[in-house]
Amino acid sequence: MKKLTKIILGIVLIPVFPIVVLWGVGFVVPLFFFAVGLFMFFGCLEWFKVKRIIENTPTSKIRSLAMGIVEIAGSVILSKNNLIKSPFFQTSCAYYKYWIEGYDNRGKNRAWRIIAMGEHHTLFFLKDETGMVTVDPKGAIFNIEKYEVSTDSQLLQNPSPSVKSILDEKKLSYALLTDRYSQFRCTEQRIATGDKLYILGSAGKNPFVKQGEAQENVQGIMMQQGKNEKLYYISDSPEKKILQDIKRRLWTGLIIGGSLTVGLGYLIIRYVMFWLTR
Amino acid sequence: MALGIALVIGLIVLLFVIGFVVYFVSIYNSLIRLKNDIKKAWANIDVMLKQRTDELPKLIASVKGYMKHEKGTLEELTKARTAFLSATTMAAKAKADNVISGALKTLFAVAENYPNLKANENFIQLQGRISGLENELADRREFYNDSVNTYNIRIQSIPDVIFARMLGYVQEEMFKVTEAEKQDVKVEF
Repeated sequence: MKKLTKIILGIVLIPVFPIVVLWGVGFVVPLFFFAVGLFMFFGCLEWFKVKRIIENTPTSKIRSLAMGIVEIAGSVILSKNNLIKSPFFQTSCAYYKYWIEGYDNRGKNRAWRIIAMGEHHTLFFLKDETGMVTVDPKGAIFNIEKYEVSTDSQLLQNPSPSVKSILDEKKLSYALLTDRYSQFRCTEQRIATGDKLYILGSAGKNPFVKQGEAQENVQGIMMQQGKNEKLYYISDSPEKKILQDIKRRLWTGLIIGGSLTVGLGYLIIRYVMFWLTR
Repeated sequence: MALGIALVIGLIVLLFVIGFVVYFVSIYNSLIRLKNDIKKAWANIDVMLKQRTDELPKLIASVKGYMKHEKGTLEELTKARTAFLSATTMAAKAKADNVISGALKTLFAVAENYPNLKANENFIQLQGRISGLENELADRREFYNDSVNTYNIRIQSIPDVIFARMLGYVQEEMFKVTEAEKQDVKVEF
């Protein structure tokens, strides 16, 4: 969470806490959504900053990467020493995110509900027409559009070791799940060989390469999350599409966050005035 | 009822004011950032230019024994190197860089006429190193020009132009390649 958002949440929530306790639950719900609105409104302004940085940073050629915040684009090459398998489709990849959903058809609120989710990543290389660079995706915001879904419940009934470890970790079993859910959906997103990626992050020293071992001075550098500049963004969409998505997210947050803040702020003030004049 | 409307309007105005303040602060900050990005992009070119300049004496030393009839080319390279080392402004360095790039291009083309030189391991190594630096320089020049272009567009656009004028920001010059450098080198065999 960014400093500005923390300060604003602190200013709003800390003095309000005793009031909430004193005036009871009737006040809590509007206050909660008022805080959510504020959080969305100011959170979106952070996206405005990200949009500006993406717009203002030219794409570098990997061959001539300079230290500091850079933007690169290229194809993924997996590192033989750092391969991971995606849990459901067993594809070799450098990053995956999975989620298992179950269809809950009990009662009135029938819907797909997330049962388990998680992600995993490892080092990989990004290659453009001029060279190749190591990427450590730790700390990155992933915006991966490509995904694959399976509704085959065999995935959970006769789980592979990777799915079994997920279920064990979450203390779940197929028998336990079928008590509550009638259908299952397993989805995964991943970064695999040949995927075209856009990366905005910090180019720094590659700690995995010893001095003098770097090839053509390229693998001596590694893309990572910066110590000062925390922004680290990895996407499989082109820059233009990323900017459109951020713009959409920005306006949605501003409108919804702004509306919640104004509407519930109004209710809260009326509530306070009612109590003061009673 | 009137109080309710006033409250809603007050809250909307407050949000707008906060939103606009944050928006203008971010414009101001991003202009400062852009200006510094240009300086950084230039500093990154300067580092490469210095590395290439450092390789020149070794290159001249390795070729002068073979290229006795190309005194002019070697002298041009030495003069350009001296001009680069004594240059203090960006424009002067860019000018000297263009001369060095042109002279190197000629030197490597002329080297084709000297089979013994072409087979010299030291020369091959230096040629590879300098060509690598030239390629990286070309990338960094392109990056610099992209940074300058973004900056120049931003300081002329509304509402950024207001802050740009307040900060006294003016358009920056792009890194230009001379007409002579664009032309192919003629080699007579």
